[in-house]
Amino acid sequence: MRPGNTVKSERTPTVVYCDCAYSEIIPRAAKDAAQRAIAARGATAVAVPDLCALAAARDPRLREWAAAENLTVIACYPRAVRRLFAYAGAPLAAGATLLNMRDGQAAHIAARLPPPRADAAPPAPLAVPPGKDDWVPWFPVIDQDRCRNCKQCLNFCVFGVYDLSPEGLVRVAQPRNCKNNCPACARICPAAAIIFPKCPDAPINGAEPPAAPGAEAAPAPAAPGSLPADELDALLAKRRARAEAFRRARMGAAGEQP
Amino acid sequence: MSGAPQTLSGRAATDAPDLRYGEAAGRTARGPVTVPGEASERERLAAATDACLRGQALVPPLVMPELRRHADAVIAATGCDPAFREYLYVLINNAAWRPVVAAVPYERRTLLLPPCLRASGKCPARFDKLGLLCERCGSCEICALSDEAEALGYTVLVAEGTGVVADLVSRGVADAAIGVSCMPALERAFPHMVTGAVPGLAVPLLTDGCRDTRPDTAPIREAVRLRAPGADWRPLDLAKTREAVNAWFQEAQLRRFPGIARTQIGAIAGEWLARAGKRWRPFLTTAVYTALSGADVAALPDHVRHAALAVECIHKASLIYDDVQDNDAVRYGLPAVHAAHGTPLALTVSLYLLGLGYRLLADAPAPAAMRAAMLSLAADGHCRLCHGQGAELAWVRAPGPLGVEQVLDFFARKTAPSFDVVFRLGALCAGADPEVHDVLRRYSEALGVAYQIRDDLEDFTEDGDADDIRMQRPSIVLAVAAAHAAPSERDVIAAAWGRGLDAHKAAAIRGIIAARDVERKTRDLLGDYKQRALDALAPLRNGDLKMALCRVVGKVLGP
Repeated sequence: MRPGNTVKSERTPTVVYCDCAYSEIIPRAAKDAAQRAIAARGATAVAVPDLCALAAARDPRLREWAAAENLTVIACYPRAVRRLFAYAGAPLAAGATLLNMRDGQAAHIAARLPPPRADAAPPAPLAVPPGKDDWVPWFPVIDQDRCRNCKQCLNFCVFGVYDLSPEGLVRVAQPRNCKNNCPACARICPAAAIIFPKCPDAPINGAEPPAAPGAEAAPAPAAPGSLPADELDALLAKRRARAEAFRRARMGAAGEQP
Repeated sequence: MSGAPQTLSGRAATDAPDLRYGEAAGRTARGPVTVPGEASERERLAAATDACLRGQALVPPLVMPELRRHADAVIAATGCDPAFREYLYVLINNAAWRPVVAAVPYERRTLLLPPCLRASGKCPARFDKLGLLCERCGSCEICALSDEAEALGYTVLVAEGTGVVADLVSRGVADAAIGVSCMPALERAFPHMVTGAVPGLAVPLLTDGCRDTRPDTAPIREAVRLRAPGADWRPLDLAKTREAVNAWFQEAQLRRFPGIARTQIGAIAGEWLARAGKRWRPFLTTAVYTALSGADVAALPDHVRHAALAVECIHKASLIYDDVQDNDAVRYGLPAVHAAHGTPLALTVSLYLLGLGYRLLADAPAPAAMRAAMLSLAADGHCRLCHGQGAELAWVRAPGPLGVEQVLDFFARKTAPSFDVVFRLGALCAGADPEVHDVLRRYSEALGVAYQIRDDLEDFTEDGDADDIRMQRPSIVLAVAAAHAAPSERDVIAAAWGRGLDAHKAAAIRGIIAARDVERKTRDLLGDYKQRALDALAPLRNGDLKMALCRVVGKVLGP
């Protein structure tokens, strides 16, 4: 089977499965469980090596899939998946079912899959196509519901990943310029609006940020110059206090505590 | 200067101007910037670099031509693989800053470590707004390096990017930094470290890849411990200079001038001078003087005050004219002078301020030769500005298509002279050598042109109206568009010069600008002139002046 080929090629799939082939963020067991579930249901499924890669290439199949009725995508965090499809110009319908293999709930995927259609193929193992190339598809997608267009990511990124649209909005222009495993722009984003689907850390991986849109997310370091002097002083004082506490602890461990 | 701007980096389009270690020539052929893999090779290069630089008076911040020249010498002397050129830049830059950093007490230094040093999967640390808070779990090198630096008195930050360090330095929280980072990030940080004039030593990571990276521990420790006993280096206190200058413009101070106190014209002029404004010009004149002379900011001599007041008088005279000409009724959130007092009175105040400016120079308590030189400089700049403005007005009466070079020439003629006067008056006050004046001339020209390019870009990107490309005056955005347009598009642009546009034509031109990536190309041109301004500083022997002028580039043109 060729990469990304459909199991029943004449039909639009009802299930898209991402194998996240470049990364180990999704446990093997979760992938196996999801694949077994798909096979057992006889769903019209398509397996792709890496959804991020397809989104970066704006693969036209994404548009086709997004248009399918009752689409189910089995991949990672729903917020990440929605933004990947949107990045590819293939926004998902609100009703699409997005199943997450990263949250330890893979065993329940079977229960949430659509029922087999009358003309469904007999249950068969899902063929996961090989399809890696040299570029590891690691790049950011912007959560437009949270982004305030402050342009800090644009000014921060070393590699020219971002640019401005003709309307003056920050966008991901050169995903392939991004540096594998570097989530630095997402860390400085004051709105937690930048998602790296393969990132180990939440909410950068697309997990729901703790606060509502517009509010500060927990790990959102400030950009240079943006901290008021008293807040900066407080943060520096905290570091000094911690340094002192560690120093005392070391001395205690060395038996020098008075 | 061709329409196609030079870029220093071979990398794909970035929004920020490129002023990196990496150079266009050979970057792609050489592959990514790298660090020698063997410790022995790194030590050999460090020793060879120090040997090559011995006896050279390096004045930091080093700018690209200096780094290139010294790297060429090291490569010639050592036979070092040119793939390590950027690594040599780091070593050379460190050599230049080392005496300064050594003279900064540990308590006023910051150690910046990258979060990618942590052991992925094991690190229990959380982040706050300043970065990672190490728990000392011992699973990576952050622990031991932090312990050592903090024991000496350092502030240790484990954070993304170097902006935070530039921020701490510009706020006076830290005076020097030791930075650990991958070569690509150092490349990116370099221009910010130059325009921030941040005294700092950089130690590249041995691996990049942003996860489980490896530090070059021995040179980090060496840099952290470096200290010249007893030395206490302090940066030039520009904030204090600004305070001193602002104090000169309080109305009570200005009323010490007899003319200002006595007449209606004088009173309006005094109020206008005292009214808010950035006071960049008098500040820069004074900063150049303090950097060159090493004078105490708390006791600046009167001839400097005269020079600073004079540049502001002449500037504010021109603003009155501008507001009349452009029919702008508001200035600094208050009615413009002509709006408050009528145009005839406003023009008289403007003429009075010109006279007052020259009078301040003529009366400056300084040797006659210095006074004559200051008057001559100001008058010459004044005349050149008028010629530049006149050339532009002649074009406005008979507009036609302009090339990039022609627009840049307009910019150089109408903006550079005012920068030139501002900086060189400070140099004259300090009795600087002709070499310093040469540097300031070249610096002013590049800075003036860059300033105008930036102004045009801002007009273009910030306004949303149809007529925002400012066809009525020579526009660099339009000239760059014309230089990159297809022949059919060129006609559309040619017809637009100097004319108001209907919505349809404006949209057509916006379309060409978007399709030909004109905004980025214009930004590259801005980056090129920003680079020229910095490069012009290479011959300066006065470190305070070089640092101050590097920061001015960052302040005037953005980081």
